[in-house]
Amino acid sequence: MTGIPDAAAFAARFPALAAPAPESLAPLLHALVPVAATAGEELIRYGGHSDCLYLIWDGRLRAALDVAGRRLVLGELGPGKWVGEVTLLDQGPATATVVAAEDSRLLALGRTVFERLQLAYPRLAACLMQALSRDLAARLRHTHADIVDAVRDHEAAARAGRRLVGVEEA
Amino acid sequence: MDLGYFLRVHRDFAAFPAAEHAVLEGLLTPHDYPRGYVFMREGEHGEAMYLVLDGQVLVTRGRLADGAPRIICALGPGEMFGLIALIDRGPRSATCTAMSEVQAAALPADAFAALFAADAPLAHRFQTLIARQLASDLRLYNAALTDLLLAAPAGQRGEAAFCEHRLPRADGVPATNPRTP
Repeated sequence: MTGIPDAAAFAARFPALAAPAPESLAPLLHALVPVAATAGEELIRYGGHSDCLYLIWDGRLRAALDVAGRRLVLGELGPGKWVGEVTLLDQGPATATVVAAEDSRLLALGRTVFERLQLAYPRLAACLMQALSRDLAARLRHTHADIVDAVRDHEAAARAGRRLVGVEEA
Repeated sequence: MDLGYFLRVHRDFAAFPAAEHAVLEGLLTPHDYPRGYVFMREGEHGEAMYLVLDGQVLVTRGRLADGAPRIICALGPGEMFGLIALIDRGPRSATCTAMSEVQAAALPADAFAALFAADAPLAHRFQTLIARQLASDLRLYNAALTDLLLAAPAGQRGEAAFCEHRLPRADGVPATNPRTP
């Protein structure tokens, strides 16, 4: 991929986003901007401003929480996943720091273009919102479970910490 | 409580066109539920979501060491619950109980799916509301998780931080966005 993939390739990489027929994906594909991130590059800063959804075409992104001078690594995301949707939806501060763990090719969907897309193509937009909702719901189930594990007893909190995240000094 | 009026003054639904309010009124079924009524139980199957019109609903998940239900939050008028199972049709992720007499409007998953197929602009607006509510819930859980993982080795402090994020605010149930601390 040197630019924007065609609809079939996009649908194969992001099946959740391609629920509408491939031919109706054209407006979304037109709205995307290819971004090349080099290993170590910071795309989003925890607590900072962000107004892009980044779809991961290839490579890996690492998400982490930066709190009190420490960095809690939440995990890595690879091809077919995306980051930045919480901030895109509510315009609040970024919920994680996102750094390219290796050279990565991304497709960025900016807020302004996304808003225009939603006005012009409600059915496509509804499908995108549904895909974002499904992903959020899955993460909520996962986070719920983590917290329940963590509070089950006081020792478990430390165990969950070791299991869930690697703590490194920022 | 007149559902049409409720939608017209709701923080989010107010922005929907009048014709869409009429569609929603046809899909949402308002009902009165007695205090103590259990809308859903954690782990059980269920596919409707609810919009609270009046009263308060307690959300609990799991149990504390002493066997008491762990309080997640309290919801008031204007808030929706039951979204996760509506979206993924998995088991309920929490138990929701009426803390008072409650008036709530149910939207069955099938009606939601029909809406999705029939009316794209409305489906888009509704789906956006749901996505925003989930994003807001995720922020809440991320904050609690952060507190736990940073403060947790002390044990008690982790539990305290967890509860603090979940209990309803002291000033009652706000109608706007109470799940965000």
